[in-house]
Amino acid sequence: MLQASQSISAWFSHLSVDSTELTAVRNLPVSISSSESSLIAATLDGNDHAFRILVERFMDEVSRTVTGMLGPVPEVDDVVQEVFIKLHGSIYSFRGDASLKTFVVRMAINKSLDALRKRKRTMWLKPWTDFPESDPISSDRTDFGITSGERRTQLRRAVNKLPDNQRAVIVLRLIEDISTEETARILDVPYGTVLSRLKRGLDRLRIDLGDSTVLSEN
Amino acid sequence: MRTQKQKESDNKYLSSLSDAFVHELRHLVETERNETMMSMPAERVMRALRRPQSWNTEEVWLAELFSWFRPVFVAGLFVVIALAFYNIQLLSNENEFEQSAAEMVFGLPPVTLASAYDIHLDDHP
Repeated sequence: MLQASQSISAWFSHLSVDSTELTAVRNLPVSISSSESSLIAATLDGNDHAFRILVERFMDEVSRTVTGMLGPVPEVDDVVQEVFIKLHGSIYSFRGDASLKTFVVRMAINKSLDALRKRKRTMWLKPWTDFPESDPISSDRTDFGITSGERRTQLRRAVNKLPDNQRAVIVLRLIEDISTEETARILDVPYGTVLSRLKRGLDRLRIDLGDSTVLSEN
Repeated sequence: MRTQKQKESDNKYLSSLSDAFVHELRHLVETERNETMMSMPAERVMRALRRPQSWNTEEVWLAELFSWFRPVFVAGLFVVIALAFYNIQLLSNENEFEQSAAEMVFGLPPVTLASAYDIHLDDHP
């Protein structure tokens, strides 16, 4: 309890909040509409309900980011869980200089990159017969002219062929619709690097999917 | 501070993309996510947090070893108890020497340091 109080005080000292405000935040009951700072303070105070609200608040972003990076594989579930467990363990280090979403999405990207590295290491240990010949995707007719299953397989293969760093930019910039500046902060790279990775990633997608499906008609 | 050129590049790359393609990408990931994720993910995260977190490799190995050797340990404990019980029963019935409870439990012979050096010449004519 004492340790939790100290970590809350340390966390609030990052944010330059005085002790009266700290007491006020602690005494507030948390709900779905509570602010991020009060949820973090309550989590540091050992309130599991507050952390659960944070988990529910960021579940969509984290699960989409991890799925975008890894594809439809069973390990997505584990990686998402690891992200939130890591968040719980390191929430005291959140300084408040970026949004909590940036903090969480950065963890999701890092955990996904770890999983991709692990996958590459273990791929050499598996016999070649273990690789599926086609992706287990359904095939319903859609407006795109070809079956949705084929199109999804085509899209996923193209995304999976991207190098990890370009894939991360495509996922954050296009799928999560995060600004280039925020993407640079999440990936801890300069703004120009995000732009060059975005350009190279889009060029590869154009080559794999064909200009007509990627480029706008304007 | 971003240069005007960088901002123009950013806009150029994104405006060159068709909306349908971006929509398709988002739809792909949403669908994959819905197919892959199990139900009640927040509940599972909270359950995982309630489990002890400090499991490093050594602790996992120890836990695994304990689980393997638990039956051996239980069987060994039964043997020890049976032996101790046998010793107490046997020695308390057949032994004329005054032995302590510990000696009887361990089945120790009634030999002391003094008796060991005490030569009985009658036994060896």
